[in-house]
Amino acid sequence: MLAYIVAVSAFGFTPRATLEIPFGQRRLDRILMLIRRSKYSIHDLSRVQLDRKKPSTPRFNMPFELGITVALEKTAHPEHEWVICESVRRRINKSLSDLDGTDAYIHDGTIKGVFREMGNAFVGSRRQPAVTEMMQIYRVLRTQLDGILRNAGAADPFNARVFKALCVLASKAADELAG
Amino acid sequence: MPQPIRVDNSRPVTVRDTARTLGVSKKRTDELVRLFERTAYWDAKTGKFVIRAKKSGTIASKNRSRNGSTKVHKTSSKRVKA
Repeated sequence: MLAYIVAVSAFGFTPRATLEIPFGQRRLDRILMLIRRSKYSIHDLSRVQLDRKKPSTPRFNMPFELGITVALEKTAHPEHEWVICESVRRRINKSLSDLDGTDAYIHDGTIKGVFREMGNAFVGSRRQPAVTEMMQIYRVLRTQLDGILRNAGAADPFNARVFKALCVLASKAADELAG
Repeated sequence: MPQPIRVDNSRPVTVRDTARTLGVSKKRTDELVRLFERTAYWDAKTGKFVIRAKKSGTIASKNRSRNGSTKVHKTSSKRVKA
């Protein structure tokens, strides 16, 4: 998650995620609202795997959200742009053959790979940070993460307060980088 | 090869834009900006972010050469050489 926050911010955009919206609404409504409000979406399917907790279940959220996005793009929001990321080449042809003809960005499951592929995806954006620059922002955020987690009383970054703090910090770093 | 995103030519967002979009208050944004500035700064000469070293908080460790302990390195000032 941190790598995507850094990359999206470095290219001059604001990262959005369902966890940032208050829990008053149904999760599905929140997802729909976010997709409608966003110009672009990145769908990383590399984590569609069995979880360790019993009963072992594959996580379907990401492919489901991708399906909603494709449906919205084909109907009400034709201007919406989406891309798919994967860590293993050609795995998507097996896991989601309905998307044959759509190539995924393969990040090899590495932070550097995510930055490299986001550079390819956002090749037309005004800001063009180098992979090394994004790595620097990542390192800065990594040094701040423990303090932010402690401050929010959170164990992991999948928390609204932590997510927002990381986005603001990443955006500040991107501003510094752009001068 | 995957298709790149057709990015419109709009202005890149600033930290204030991001905070506003995410509903972060001005006060909290200022706090986070200060936190960032305390942790790192952009060095235009080297073109790199420099992560500031954490302060230990004790005077003795801040100025080890002046805390009364024996100096272990030779001084190289001109005055001493002369």
